[in-house]
Amino acid sequence: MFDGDPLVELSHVCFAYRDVGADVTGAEPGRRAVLNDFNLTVNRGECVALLGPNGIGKTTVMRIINALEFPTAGEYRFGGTPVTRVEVEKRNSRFAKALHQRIGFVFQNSDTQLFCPSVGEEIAFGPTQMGLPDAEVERRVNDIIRLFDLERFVDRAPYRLSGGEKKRVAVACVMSLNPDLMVLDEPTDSLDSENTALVVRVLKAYVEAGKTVLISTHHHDIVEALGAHIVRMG
Amino acid sequence: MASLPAWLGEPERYEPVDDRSSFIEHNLAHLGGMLEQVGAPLPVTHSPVDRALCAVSPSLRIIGVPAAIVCVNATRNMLFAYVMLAVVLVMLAMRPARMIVAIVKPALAVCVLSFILSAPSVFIGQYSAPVRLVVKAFVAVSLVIALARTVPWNHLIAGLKGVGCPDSVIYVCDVTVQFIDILGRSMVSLLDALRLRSVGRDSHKLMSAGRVMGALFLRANTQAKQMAEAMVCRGFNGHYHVRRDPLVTVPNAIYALVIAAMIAFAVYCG
Repeated sequence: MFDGDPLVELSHVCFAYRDVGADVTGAEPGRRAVLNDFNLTVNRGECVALLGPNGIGKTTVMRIINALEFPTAGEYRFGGTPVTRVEVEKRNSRFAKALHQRIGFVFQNSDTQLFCPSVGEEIAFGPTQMGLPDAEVERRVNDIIRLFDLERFVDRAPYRLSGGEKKRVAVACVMSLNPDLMVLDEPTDSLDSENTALVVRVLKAYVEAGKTVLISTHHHDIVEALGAHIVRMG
Repeated sequence: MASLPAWLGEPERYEPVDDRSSFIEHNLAHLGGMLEQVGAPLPVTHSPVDRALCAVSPSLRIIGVPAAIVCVNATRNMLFAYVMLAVVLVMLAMRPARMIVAIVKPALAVCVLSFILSAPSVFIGQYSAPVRLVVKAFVAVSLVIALARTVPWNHLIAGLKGVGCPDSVIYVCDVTVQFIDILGRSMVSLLDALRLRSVGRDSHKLMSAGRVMGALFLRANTQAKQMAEAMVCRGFNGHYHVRRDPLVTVPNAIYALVIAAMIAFAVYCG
């Protein structure tokens, strides 16, 4: 499952959010269109950057890729396998779990991504879920902590960290799942230049190791540093 | 160039095992979705009854709905309750289908609960008690939900100022409503984050749900402090100032007359 090419394929995707307040009117369909006939192909080992103004639908594309939303029209395939609401929302869905292991999603707002009592537990959460032996979980946690220079924060509560530190923890805890595709929604927004350079270095190494990265950003220097293929929206 | 650990350079050979989402996860997600809707913008409703009611001052409606509820519950003669039930049903029938569902579903749930609670009274000879309670509960709940569904929260809060509520009460209501919405969104995002990283069997589902709730309350606490500080920085001195709409208008006068007639009829029915 999910081993085909290309890794991500969105074909003629349309998407409209249900306007929460509008669902009781009856008279209006109450939907707010965001994507219309959108196409995107991301090959394995590629780094792709989504560029575009605010509100154009970059986050929506990322949520669709992570199966948090589903296209109202068109098709989404991950690794050649169609990703549909029916498969993902099926009870006991191995499909959804396999998909979520293959795709790591770093939210734009790290505050709503971190829920464990300490940074160490946050990073260990994914590998523990995967049922890896304790020694392997510990090895991964230590490796990731070193990679993201988080040694000082291991026992700290994520909510007590600064915005930039939270962002690094968010990227680190997703990377500990070793996904095929890292999807990062404006990952360098709250980072200073030093931490931005750190995250860019890690992502670049990740791509060179054969993994795939999809980011949305407004910073052209990041795109250049990553050598990313640019997809302009809007 | 950062040097990655060897395992990050290799494809992950992971086959997930079966695992059910827990009852508590489902319910938290549902609760988050509901909280999200509280502060959501209200739709422009096209029903004639709501168009007419929109012209009435929220302050008057805040007085009118509780007055109707008190009258329905205070009158012993069921004629008044049945008349009010008829009025509520007529108003419901003039609304769009989805609005009817949004009002009737919770109202019926309260009716069922009222019936279950009052059913034992039949055994002591109070045969009409369950029907009385169900009718009164339906009228009261329908009126409150219709008010909440058709008047935006900010108008209701401004209406509170109009009926002389203290600023401290308005502040608590205002912040609570805003935070219910924000908390709902945060809860949905945190549950999404939990779901995305729950890629295997979680033998501590309750603990995971507890962590989400814990993170949510910590976030709420921080945000409440930040918001209070932001309000102070922008000159908030504890007093709410709302735009005062003219109170003497034709729709307000008609509404006030209807409420007065309703109270008079309730007194007449006894």
